[in-house]
Amino acid sequence: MKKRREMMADERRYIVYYTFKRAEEVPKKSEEKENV
Amino acid sequence: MSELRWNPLMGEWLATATARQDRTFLPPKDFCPLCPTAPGGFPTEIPESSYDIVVFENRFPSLQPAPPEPAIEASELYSVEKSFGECEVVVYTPNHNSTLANEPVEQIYKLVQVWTDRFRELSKLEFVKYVFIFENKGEAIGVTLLHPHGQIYAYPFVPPRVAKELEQSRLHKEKSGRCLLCDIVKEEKTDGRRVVTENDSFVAYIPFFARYPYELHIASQKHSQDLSQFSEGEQKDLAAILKQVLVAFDKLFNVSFPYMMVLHQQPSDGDNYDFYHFHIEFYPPMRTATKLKFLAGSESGAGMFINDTLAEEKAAELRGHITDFRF
Repeated sequence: MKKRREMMADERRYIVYYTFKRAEEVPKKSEEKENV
Repeated sequence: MSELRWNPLMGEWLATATARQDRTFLPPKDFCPLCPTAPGGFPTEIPESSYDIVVFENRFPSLQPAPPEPAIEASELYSVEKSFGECEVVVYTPNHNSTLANEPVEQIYKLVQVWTDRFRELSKLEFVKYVFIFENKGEAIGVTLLHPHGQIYAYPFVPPRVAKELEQSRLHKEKSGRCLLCDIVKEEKTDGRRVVTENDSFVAYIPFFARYPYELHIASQKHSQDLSQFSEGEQKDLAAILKQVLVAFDKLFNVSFPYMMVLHQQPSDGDNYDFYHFHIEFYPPMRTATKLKFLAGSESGAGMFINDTLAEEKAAELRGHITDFRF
């Protein structure tokens, strides 16, 4: 996870962008099955 | 105008924030302030054209790191304080039409990581005593923006509901030597009728003492006090159980289920709370497909909730909609 903090256009407030590496984006293939 | 006013009758603080009267109210999709700014398009709160998850300071905060002087003088009876704190907006996804329930479990895992980072960051601020992460979802709850998002309030005091839980937990620890929530989880799992789902790290249940028909709690199986204590595996398990619960909620009445979701963690005031136990609580207002539960006289005026349903029956309903999501 990476984050980038900037000031917003009004120059009063901050904004933090969080980005994730490709490997973190899809840790493993999601598996979906009905619970019985 | 913004300040903290003391209620001597209840021993509680409340915040006034008159600027919030003018906040954006259910704008059309093309003018959603939480969408990415399209090239040449309407400038939203988020200048980037794409993002994973974004956090920013609320344009209409009730608490601020540099608050104005109170607009009213204090008296011996009525204390007044500056409204120190932080109010952040957490935007879950660039997709305006999504919901947390509709996001893949991988995106919810990212959100858990962002929550954890915000908890750590905000806890460092000197004026912050409690970091409260929550989501209000749905027009039934009164949301003013439909884009999927949550919020974080960093309070300059421990809020009353959490303070009450802390006190009950401390008393139980003194009396029995055990953690109160560990005992609740043990009793719920032994009984089993109110458990909705569980995995290695978390258990979801409608508690014996539920106030709302579908009030659901998610507690860590391990005795932990806050998000920062979870391993990567536990963070993934938290994302997985959240996905299970949120999807089950939506399946109940085939609607995008409204709720309040709140994270209860230990305070950030530097004291020792090793007797406390991390958990998440959901308060959904729907009691049937067409009826809402309102907080009326007994609930609002006396503080005693009346639940028209049995937790055991509602948990069985939700269990029937549980789907297995795994990494």
